[in-house]
Amino acid sequence: MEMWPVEEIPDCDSLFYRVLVAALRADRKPHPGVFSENKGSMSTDWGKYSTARETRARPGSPEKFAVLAMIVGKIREIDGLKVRHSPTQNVAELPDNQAHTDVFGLESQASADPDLGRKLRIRTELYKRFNKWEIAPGTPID
Amino acid sequence: MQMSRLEKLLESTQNEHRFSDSPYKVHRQRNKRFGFHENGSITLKDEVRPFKAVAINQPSPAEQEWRAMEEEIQAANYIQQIENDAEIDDFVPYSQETLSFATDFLRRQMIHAHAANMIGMGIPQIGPADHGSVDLFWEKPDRTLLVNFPHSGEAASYYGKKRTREISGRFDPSDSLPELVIWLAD
Repeated sequence: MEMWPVEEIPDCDSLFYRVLVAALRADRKPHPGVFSENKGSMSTDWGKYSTARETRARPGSPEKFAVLAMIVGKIREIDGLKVRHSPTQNVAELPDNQAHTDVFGLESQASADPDLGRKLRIRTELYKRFNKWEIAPGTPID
Repeated sequence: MQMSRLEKLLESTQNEHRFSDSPYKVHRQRNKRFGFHENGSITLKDEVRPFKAVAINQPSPAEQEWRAMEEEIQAANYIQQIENDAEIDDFVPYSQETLSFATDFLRRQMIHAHAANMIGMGIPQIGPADHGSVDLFWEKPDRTLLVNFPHSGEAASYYGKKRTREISGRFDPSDSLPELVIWLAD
């Protein structure tokens, strides 16, 4: 099987981002704390190769997750964030996923002159742009 | 002897007070008995009295704000129950200590605000963030303020934004920051 190519993602496309329902407040609305890195990036799925439902169900137990949709161009507007298509294929302990896309830059690299509020600024900006659910918590599973 | 019109009117009014079940007239009768006319019209007394009773029972705006804050703090206890269900490699459990850093800071800020007669600092959302840290997030129509308390009591950090101004910095999570009170309430 041929390896999936890394593609350039247009600004108008959407990325789907999974959020753990147990980490939500009682009002079950998104909050700035839902935006976090895992293994060096925010892990998302590109809408070209995944639906929001598939993103929700990918790790199993879809009822535990809600999904946000993030417009790529709106992510790129935020100073410090980069979007890169990074399909996973034949990677140990990772399921194959042509939609997989990394959002880099939330965690700053160590530097001599750290920007103290950088990460909080980025989380605030992400929250302001993406605070409506694509799949709300508690949505029934098909 | 013929009664004047005024005398007839007074007599009929007195009879009304004596026999009527109308709450309004009973009130007037009682007030006359206890001499409430001394300080002004009876109408004013009847209006003022229930108003005062409500005012005594009604919590002040500062008390209301404090209660709302305590409700938010109470609701935030769920954070300690969050488990690693999201395949996060470097998941750090949320501790009571971290949550207390955030909520104690919030109480200190509120005390500063009320000591300065500043009502309307607002109640932040208390929520979980990455690496076992806890956020306080104020969201107002013209500004936001995000304060993050890392796990294990490391320096807390904040970022605030108004239309044309931004603030950010770090601080000892055991301290308070009165300047943020002003920033939120001005």
